[in-house]
Amino acid sequence: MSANATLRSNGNFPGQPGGEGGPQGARDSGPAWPQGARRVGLWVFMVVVTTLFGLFGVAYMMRAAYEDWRPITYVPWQLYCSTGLLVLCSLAWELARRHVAAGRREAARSTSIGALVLSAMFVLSQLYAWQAMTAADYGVAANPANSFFYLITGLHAVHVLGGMVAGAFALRRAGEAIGLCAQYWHFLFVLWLAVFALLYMVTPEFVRAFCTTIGIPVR
Amino acid sequence: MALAISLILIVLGAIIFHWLSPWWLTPIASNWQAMDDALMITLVICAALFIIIHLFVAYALLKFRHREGHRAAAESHNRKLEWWLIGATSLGIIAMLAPGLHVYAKLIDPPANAAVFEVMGKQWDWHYRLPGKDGKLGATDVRFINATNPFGINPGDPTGQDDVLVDGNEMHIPLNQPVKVLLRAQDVLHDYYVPQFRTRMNMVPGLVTHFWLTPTQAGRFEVLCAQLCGVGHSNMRSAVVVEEQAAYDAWLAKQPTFSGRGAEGGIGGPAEPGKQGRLIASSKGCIACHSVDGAPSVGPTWKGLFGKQEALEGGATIAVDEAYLKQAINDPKATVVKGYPNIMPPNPLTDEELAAMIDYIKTVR
Amino acid sequence: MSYGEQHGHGHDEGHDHAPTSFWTKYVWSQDHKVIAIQYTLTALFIGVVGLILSDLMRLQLGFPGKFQFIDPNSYYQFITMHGMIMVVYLLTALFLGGFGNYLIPLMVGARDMVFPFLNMLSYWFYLLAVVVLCVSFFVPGGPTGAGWTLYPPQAILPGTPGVEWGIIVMLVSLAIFIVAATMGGLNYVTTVLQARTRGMTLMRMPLSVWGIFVATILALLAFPALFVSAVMMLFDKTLHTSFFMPALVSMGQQLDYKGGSPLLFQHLFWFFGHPEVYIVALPAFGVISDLISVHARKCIFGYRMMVWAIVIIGGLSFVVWAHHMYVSGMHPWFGFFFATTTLIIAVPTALKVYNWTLTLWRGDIHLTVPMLFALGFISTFLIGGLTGLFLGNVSVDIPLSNTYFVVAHFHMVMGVSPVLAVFGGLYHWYPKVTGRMYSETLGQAHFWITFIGAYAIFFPMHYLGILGMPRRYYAYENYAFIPESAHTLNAFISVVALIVGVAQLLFLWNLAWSARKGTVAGGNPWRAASLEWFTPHTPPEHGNWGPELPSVHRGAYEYGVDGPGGDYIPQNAGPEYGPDPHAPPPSHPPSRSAPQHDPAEVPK
Repeated sequence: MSANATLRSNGNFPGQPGGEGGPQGARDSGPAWPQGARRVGLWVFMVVVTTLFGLFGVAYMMRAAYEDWRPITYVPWQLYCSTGLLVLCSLAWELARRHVAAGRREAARSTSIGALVLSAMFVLSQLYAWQAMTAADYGVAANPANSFFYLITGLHAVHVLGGMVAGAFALRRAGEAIGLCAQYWHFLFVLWLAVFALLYMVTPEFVRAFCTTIGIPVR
Repeated sequence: MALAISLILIVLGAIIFHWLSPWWLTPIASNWQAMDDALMITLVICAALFIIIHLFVAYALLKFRHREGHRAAAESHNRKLEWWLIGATSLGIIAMLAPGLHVYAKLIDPPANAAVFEVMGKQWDWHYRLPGKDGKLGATDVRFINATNPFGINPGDPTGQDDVLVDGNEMHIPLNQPVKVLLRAQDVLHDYYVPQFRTRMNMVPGLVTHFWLTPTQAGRFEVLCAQLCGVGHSNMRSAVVVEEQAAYDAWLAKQPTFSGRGAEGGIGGPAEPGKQGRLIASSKGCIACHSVDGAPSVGPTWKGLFGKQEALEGGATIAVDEAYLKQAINDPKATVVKGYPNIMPPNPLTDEELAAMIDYIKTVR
Repeated sequence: MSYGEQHGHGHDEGHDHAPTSFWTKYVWSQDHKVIAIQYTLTALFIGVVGLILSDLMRLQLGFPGKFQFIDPNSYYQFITMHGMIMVVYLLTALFLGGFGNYLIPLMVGARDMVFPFLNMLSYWFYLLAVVVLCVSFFVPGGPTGAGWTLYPPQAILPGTPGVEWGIIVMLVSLAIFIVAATMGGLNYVTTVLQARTRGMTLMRMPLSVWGIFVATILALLAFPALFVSAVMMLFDKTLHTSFFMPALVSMGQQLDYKGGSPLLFQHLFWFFGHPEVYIVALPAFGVISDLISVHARKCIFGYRMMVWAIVIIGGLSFVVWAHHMYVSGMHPWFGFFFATTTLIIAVPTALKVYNWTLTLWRGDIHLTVPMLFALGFISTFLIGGLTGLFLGNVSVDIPLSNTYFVVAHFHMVMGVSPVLAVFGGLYHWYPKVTGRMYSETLGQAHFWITFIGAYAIFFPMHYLGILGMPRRYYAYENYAFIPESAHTLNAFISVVALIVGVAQLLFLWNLAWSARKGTVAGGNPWRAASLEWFTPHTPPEHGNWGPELPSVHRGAYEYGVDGPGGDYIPQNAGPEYGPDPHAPPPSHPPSRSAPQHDPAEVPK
């Protein structure tokens, strides 16, 4: 909870937020703080992005049930790099957040810049991985599993890029915004693991077993 | 006041309209009377609600209109009433849903002894196939589909050799016999819809869908495509004839089979001049817009076309000869016949197909 | 302690002080009210384009072949663009971006949305989406003619207009719109959750806010499905992947697709498409509740149930989608499930209709123009909703699917009743937004022509559908089962549609003229109780509330009781006028020994 307290009383706000008192007391209490708004906004956005990727996952599973599907077996080593880079990004943002909490502005700033650089390297590692896939004859239109590979990893990378734009703004604003970036990057990492699992572990057999278990008829 | 009266008039108008309306269900020609019954139950319940609420509102508007010194009641809710209304509504819902699902269970369960025929839809015409004497439809694949084999029947499959390929786009089925209609599509979504049969289904490329019915009225019924399939959607016309067994057998005997006499893999049956071109015209959808009997249609009729002087947009006239036909088919936008829209989609033919088409058009007098 | 004191710090730079130049006040504005007006005017503009397209369609249907320039290509392009414009670019944008932006901060007592910069961006992305959509009229081959549902394979195959560029432009425009809607949606949801003023609990918010709030949650969760299907279709079209494209032969050519499923698109599309209709309907429900309550001077009947109904309808809207697919060829067992869920959703919806009518009962009904539209909504939504029961019941739907019955149903329930709610809301809040009253005569004329005209157009249409006339047909020549009278009816409907279309000019003229020349209205001409009517200035100035945020001591529907307003108590009138007499007693009375406030929030 200390992170919350930090966010509530971040460096830019001179006063403590006031109480909701008033004649009606606790029963009459209204909203939480407007500065909690950014946090809530980020959570809502994370739900939306989760829904987006969840739907791609559902589409993936539905398409996998068709007989022309060939699961991808080749894992380009660049994808392991990507995973490692995302871990480092999360660590960097988390470190930056702690610097902010402790009031170390300069350290926070440089760690954040480091995180942004690592994110850029992540995106480049993705492009490199795509190159490796195409060279290994996994073209985008050759097989639906391939198509999903490029589509889903591409969209994930787009969300990383979007995060980098927000991160650049956060650098300027510092304070709470850096904590929010940390939260977003942790989310992107978890999302990446889910994407990885979807692309390599959700096979047609798994889909069939899953659907029959929950009672959806599979043709 | 005016609004209250309008609402009452709307109720009266709706009732009178319903009574007098010449537009209602077509006379049912299948065994699915239960679907009409479910519709009527739904109509009665919904009409009752429509009338009651409109009259209630009209009454409230009159009784509780603003007047000097009048004030609204301070009430805000009535839990008991709300729950009672929820209960009554739920009963109404069940009263509609139960018969509906009951019929549906039968709709999706074709009898084992149902006869079978297959409809292949493509932009923008229909083809019909029956299993031959062996009772089995031949295997098909998309890669075998071509101008003379719209079903894509695998020529190597023995069970396909005796498949009956209906000539033209009018299908016959015997009266009072349950039939399961198999539906396929070559290119885009279509839907085989005969209003008098009530039941129908989409036709999906990559899938075989179906529905079943027992036709109970003899007659000729129009088939409509009921899933948007491009610019020719409303021209994708066909018919189904329901007739007594004897007449049906006579019709069936005249239909060609897949093997027949003729080139291997070609549509069997007696040869006739222009036949190849006719089949191509049918399979490529030309006849959706060009009639052969002189009837006006989206495009110029082919009856008497070859050799005539045709007036073009822009004032020129041209003699319809082989060169003109070649251009008109392969590059339709180059010249447009006067009085017709410039909407013919490009549909390039090979040289042999072109020659066959022209031969056919020459025979249409 | 008010949010106002946080004002200078809780926002992006540039919002600290009221904007001063023309450009920052009216163009690059971060003020929710200006953004709302921008959304509304843009939506009305593109709505007029959609209206013209519908009249062009009706010319062909009523007088087939008489208008040479309407050929099958153009006809299908008109249908598609009309549908997409009306559903997405008019109704969704207007209810969420227009009404949502204007009303939410004012009704919950906030100074603005919580992310004003993002809010501004959402409008400009919306405008970009509209511009891109309009560009599709000018690309080679013209706009797509695949129907607003954009089903593959036809949407990207020859034989359908717009396969060269139109479909691509459409999908790109939709993607941009979805980004805009997400940006706006984040604002609306977070503002309702986080920026309500003191005393404004969730269960004191007006139903307009509830409707828009739940609709926004639906939008945030449903638009991703449209995004998924749009991106996958773009891939199929441009990169020749086979998400939705099976092996097929198109126009005699074997294409290189294989294995894809057109049904996959339909599932994804309708997973979006069904919540989409509730994204339009729920704000309409909320607005109507407020209109009826204010103009009948009576507390909305059953506020709690109304809130629950909105929430339940919103939740259930995600499990009914395949009632659009009963004849799609999907596995038949799904029909049982979706028919059941669809008919269940009718119950909370019916409850709302009952509660609106019960609000009128023993009310003090003023037949103002907004009230007329609200009553028109009840009538047309009733018939639209009831015909939905026909279509939700799977076996009754099968012969009616893709006929004019469906067209009549969705026009009544989407095209007529929510539009009547839009008109009612625009007239109702017009004096708040402009400070002036609209012309009563023009408003009445607009109502009567629109309401009666809508019935004349769409009521008979149901019967054409029962007869079996399919929809999306360019012409109906020479069908034995279609009597000549049906063609006469089509001509009649077209004439009425043209008249109703032209009559909307009365509305537009009224909006424009009264803003300059209408009588000055005062801050609360309807003597309404909800918070938005109590801003210190009308139209509200930047920051809405002046130096001190309001505090709220009761719900928004205290009518029919003695109060400072005569027969009502304003929501922000002091506590001496009594707490909410209609609130149920608290289930957990505040304990005397526990502190009265959250220890993290130190009172000033």
